[in-house]
Amino acid sequence: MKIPALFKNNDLLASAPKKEFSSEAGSSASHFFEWSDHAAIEVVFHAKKDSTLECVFLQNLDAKAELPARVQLIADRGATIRCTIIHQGASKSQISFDSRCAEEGASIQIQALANSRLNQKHAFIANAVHPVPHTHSDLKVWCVANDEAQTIFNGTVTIEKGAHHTQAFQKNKNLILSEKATIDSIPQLFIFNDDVKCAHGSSTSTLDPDQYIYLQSRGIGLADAEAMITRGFIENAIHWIENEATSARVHAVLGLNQEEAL
Amino acid sequence: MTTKTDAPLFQIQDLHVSVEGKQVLKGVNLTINKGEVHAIMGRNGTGKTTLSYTLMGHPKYEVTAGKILLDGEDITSLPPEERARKRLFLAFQYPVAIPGVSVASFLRASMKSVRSAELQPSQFRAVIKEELKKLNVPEAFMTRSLNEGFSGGEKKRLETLQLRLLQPKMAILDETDSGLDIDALRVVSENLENYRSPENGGGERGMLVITHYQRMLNYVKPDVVHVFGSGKILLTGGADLALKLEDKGYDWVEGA
Ligand SMILES: Nc1ncnc2c1ncn2[C@@H]1O[C@H](COP(=O)(O)OP(=O)(O)OP(=O)(O)O)[C@@H](O)[C@H]1O
Ligand SMILES: [Mg+2]
Repeated sequence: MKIPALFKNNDLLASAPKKEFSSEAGSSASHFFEWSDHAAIEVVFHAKKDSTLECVFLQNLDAKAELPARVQLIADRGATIRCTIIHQGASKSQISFDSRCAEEGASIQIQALANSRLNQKHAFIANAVHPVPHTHSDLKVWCVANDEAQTIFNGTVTIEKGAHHTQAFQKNKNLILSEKATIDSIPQLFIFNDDVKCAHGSSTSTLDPDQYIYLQSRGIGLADAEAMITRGFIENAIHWIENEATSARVHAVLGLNQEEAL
Repeated sequence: MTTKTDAPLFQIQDLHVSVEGKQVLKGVNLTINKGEVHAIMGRNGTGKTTLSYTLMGHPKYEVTAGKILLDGEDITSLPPEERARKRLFLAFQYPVAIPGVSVASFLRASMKSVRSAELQPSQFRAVIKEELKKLNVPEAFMTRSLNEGFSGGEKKRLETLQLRLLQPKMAILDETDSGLDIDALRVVSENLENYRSPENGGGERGMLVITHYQRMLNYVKPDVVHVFGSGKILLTGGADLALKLEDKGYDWVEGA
């Protein structure tokens, strides 16, 4: 099965403005980019040698927008990127993200979330590239589709010849909340080297009655129970955001109150 | 309202239940008065959990005949959340994991639904803290995902915590003693015994304890013990019946 992309040619991206964010060598940094301009965009997050970069890309376009974006993640020697990519707004939007563990010891971890409803069409096109030995990538994609939304995830891992000791993981979990919503996903795995450790998996589920009955038995009504389970699903993707201001903004845009600690 | 103050606390009348087209309960009758603890024992697969789910209102378990009454009010067709708000509680044999929902937010939501008449949300924190301490549950638990990756014993402790927080007038405990280590069994049992003791308001409450062993009944002493088999109650006796079952097994019980 071939999954169609939402945007076939890249004309919109070719002329798109490019924004770059980085963490300097040996430092740690946090960058947040909220995409709400009415134009295609290319964003580069670059973690330089031995640095740690937390970055969040939030697609929060207005309801009529039909636009693609590209996100590039580059980790240099010994650098770590922890990136969260979110689809929230637009009527049709595609985010292509390429993560490149450019030098040895690089690690790129990504949590991607599509929160799709109404007639929204959201696509994630992911490619993890491992050109050198001893690198690590881990992508988790969470798609929740309600109403008549359509969500697409297409993932690829490219491990080049000689990239020994690569560890690459892709996982995709989907939650379908309505009969008319669809989620299409094929995590594809391209391995060009023997000495690597890879895993991929995908699962799609509807709301689990055992879950909402448990909540109902504690006095929580059905609608609230469903909202709690859905919210829990979304939290899986965003709870790891460390920067407090960013986390607060992401929660606000997704319409979630932030949890109080006990 | 059909509530009668002089009615027994909890009544199960001629309850027939089928699940997935299979008749599992075949005429269960049981009356629990205020202040009483009843135990149900019985072989695996005889329908004890089916009974507990049905009492709580699990929609998969279809009541084909009979009634469930709480304080004289027929609750047979109420959804689970309304039964909970009428202060019926089930400690699940297999508590369900809900990833991404923290224990703290879940407990707050359930206390808000069930106890808003007596407690302000601003009081929840103190109440939860106090009960955590009594059950030896570390506060770090509160930020974890609900039941996700919890050990068997941790799950049962959390079920007991919920009972203490929601303060039901009728509590059904489905194998709450299974999976607990020796110390945890004592702590959980002491909390349950404390909950049913008359000094703490237990005289107004009832409990139905489903178990395979005498061990928890050493702490939570039952007034009445029932043997369950083939979807109904086969035999009823006093606390000594549990000891006899532990000693002799079920072979001597007719129909078991
Ligand atoms: N959801 C279901 N779908 C199909 N069969 C079911 C379902 N729930 C219960 N049953 C069947 O009903 C019977 C009673 O099961 P139940 O779980 O109530 O037994 P139990 O007495 O609680 O057993 P145990 O002591 O092992 O916990 C079993 O044969 C079981 O397979
Ligand atoms: Mg059972």
